[in-house]
Amino acid sequence: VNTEDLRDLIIEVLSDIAPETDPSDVDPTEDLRDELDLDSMDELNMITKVGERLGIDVPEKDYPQMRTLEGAVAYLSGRLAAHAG
Amino acid sequence: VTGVTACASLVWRARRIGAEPSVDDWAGLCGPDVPRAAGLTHPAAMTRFVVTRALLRATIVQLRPELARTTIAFDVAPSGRLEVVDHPELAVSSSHTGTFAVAAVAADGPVGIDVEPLDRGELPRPEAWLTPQELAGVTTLDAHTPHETDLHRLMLLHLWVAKEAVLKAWPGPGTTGRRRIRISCPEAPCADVETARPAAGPPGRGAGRRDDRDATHGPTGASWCGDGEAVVAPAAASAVTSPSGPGADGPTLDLGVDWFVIDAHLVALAHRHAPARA
Repeated sequence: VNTEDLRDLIIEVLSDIAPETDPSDVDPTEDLRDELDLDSMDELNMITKVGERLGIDVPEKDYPQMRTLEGAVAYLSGRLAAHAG
Repeated sequence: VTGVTACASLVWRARRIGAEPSVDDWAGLCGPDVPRAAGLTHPAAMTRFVVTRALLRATIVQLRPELARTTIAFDVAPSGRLEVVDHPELAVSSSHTGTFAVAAVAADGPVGIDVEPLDRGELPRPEAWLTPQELAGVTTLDAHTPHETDLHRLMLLHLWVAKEAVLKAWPGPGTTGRRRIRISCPEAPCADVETARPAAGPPGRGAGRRDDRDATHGPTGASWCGDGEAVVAPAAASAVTSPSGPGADGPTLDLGVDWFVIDAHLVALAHRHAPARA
């Protein structure tokens, strides 16, 4: 799974959670909650669904790293690399 | 009101704000809120910001009538907590969903408030945010009511808003996690929402404090305004949270949690346990 796949996966999940928005158009460095008007339940749904799709459990302390698209991709890449290693 | 520990002002639909002569005049934004509001790009976010700030001011004035609404300013502390400028003794909290927003203020301890529509869609996987005890409670309820999927969802929704309210009330540095917050008697509120009538509860859990609650004011000092029918859910619970997790060593916060149903929205108010009324 490369970074582009991860980005597409996150956008796909976000599209389900916030169908009225266009996640593919978000600024990757901006807070997803502000960009897509997500609330805390949307945010946790996104984190758990992405985690389930990748087979990893994201601990609560790491949630802040998933706040932006860029941050989420970087975090998940690291987790997958560590898992593979 | 003797014994008031918190005051919640619960909202009317945001669309009504358009009927006001001037949103700016009505809301009375001042201090750091002005540049903060100007920086919001989404119209919905701007509306919510204005509404919740106005609600907070209205609620503060209910609790502290000597304060002039137009002079109440807010600032965000480095911890992210919203504070009332020049009034560190006041704790405030707000929440919104769709066209609803709620606000709460307390003068004697932490306060947190959260709102979700009763028909809120899919909730996050319970294992991601419930404690083992809460998961066991959900499992027990499911075993007794295997076909009551709506009851199951309502129970989870009660737990969700309660935890969010407690998170907002948490006064310590940083935040504690949802799985470090334990909501007591989580099996109670679902049935209560369905019946929506006062019921006796165990001492100290809050339900027993509701006997003299009326439609607009209760022992916890909660009140609301708006065009929705307000129903006082006759259930309450305690919440214990700790950076180390419930039951672990370290500081803990013991809060009361009350639930309200207003116009198909579920509100949880977390606050310091109320003293006995005089």
